[in-house]
Amino acid sequence: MKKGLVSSIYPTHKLLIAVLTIILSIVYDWKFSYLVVLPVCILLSLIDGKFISYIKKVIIGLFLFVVFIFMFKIILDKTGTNILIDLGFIKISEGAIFAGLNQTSALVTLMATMLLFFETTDIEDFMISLQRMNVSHVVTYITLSTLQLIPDMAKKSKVIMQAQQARGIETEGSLLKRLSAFFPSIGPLIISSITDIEDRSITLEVRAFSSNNKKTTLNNISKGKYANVLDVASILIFLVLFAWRFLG
Amino acid sequence: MNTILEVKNLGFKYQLADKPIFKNLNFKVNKGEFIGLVGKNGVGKTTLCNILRGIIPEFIKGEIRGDVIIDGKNLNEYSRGVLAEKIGFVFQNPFIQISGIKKTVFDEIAFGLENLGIERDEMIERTNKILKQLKIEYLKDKHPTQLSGGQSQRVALASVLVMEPEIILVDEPTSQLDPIGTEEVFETLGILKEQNCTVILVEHKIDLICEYADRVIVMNDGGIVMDGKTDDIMSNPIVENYGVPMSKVSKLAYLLSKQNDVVFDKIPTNVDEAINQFRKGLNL
Repeated sequence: MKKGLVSSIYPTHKLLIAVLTIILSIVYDWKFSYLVVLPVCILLSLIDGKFISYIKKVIIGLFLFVVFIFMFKIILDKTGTNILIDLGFIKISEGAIFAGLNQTSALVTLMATMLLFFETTDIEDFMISLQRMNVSHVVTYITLSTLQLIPDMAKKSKVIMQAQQARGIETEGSLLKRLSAFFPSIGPLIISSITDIEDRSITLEVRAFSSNNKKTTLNNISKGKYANVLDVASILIFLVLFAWRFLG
Repeated sequence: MNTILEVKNLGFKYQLADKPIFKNLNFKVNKGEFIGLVGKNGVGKTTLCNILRGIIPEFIKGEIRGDVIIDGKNLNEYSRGVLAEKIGFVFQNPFIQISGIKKTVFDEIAFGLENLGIERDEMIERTNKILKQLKIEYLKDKHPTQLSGGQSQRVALASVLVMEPEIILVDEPTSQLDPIGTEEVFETLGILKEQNCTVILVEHKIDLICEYADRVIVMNDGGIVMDGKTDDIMSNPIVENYGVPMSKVSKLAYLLSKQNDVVFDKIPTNVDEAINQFRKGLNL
């Protein structure tokens, strides 16, 4: 299957662009994150054919972190003078809104770029690219297996809940009922995950993970023709924008 | 015959146990031998496999005594990586034998080769060869976590065999499998036997042990109580004193000969032998 424009960029180059963008969002004000980075990332996801799943994650991320912090900031900020909404006990000023936007701008960039990175990057390819940079295979394995751990634990949690259900514990119904069934399952979930780690380490031992031989990879990923051009261009653009912020 | 593995005065006690699980084990394994390791639960068969593979004392702690000599060299002298190339180990539970990071069975099988630093072309060739040999080519694009027990166990075997170890330890590979899954795994073990691999198989399914193993070692009460050719051991009713049943055909032949209903040259241990012996004994 042919990869999309963003998906075909070599993982570590893509990560470099994401990191440089995050640094820029720290030195620039909210407009950079909200009016440039976020729309560009959404556009890139559209071009790459990953729009639907990307936008879902962005919306969840925005609601979970950004909106929450933003609301706190504008409610608690008492410094603003130009009051836009006055509800008596809460006064929302123009200054508070801008302060909230500035406070959350780096987070928005971090979320938008990293979500796009993971949406358009095969994790195994990312690990291979790190290994080629001489990052230890132990580090890349731990990273990769940790990323796999979340769906694995979700699956296991489901099994534990089903076991609870089979023993007559009510796991469905109101939120309170669901929560009271969920919390007791955390213990077995953690214990079984620890046991899994022990088993996994023996499995790895059997599969020569501790071999001193130089590791090779089955999946072949190439950097592409314009990889170096892309690297140089992104660093140059970063330097220009960085300098412009302070000198311009 | 060349001795590939030798166990000398081996004993082991788990960290919190009162007494050793076994002591003074002594036996030799020749190159190309297919050994069935049998005995009641808890006699130390899995522990022995773990020691032979170096999992004990590397991952599981306890007091270990004696020596394990592999190819003339003490086990302690091998690095962990070299040992992985030398001895393959297939565990009891097929579902914990996956790396957890690969998306297809093909990639999963090749994982060990990646760790050994095998070049990509050779890796593909060897993986394809083993898929074909074990008749699991149809699984190659499946996700390793979406396999049945029998399929998982065969993929686990393939993942170990692809590394071409000199000795293969297989610990109760069929304990969680249905009859079809069991048959699939034993088909694979049959291929290993044909290829003259050195195999140590822990298994409770005695009929299958009688079918495949050249030699049987019986463990009981912290030691080896019987060791010899499969026919000699499994046709001997004494084996039942150690919690190991005779195979069904051996039992039938033994009971018939005891009652003087049929006279056998020797008690058969597997089906093919039984057919011949019954024909002779009953003058069919």
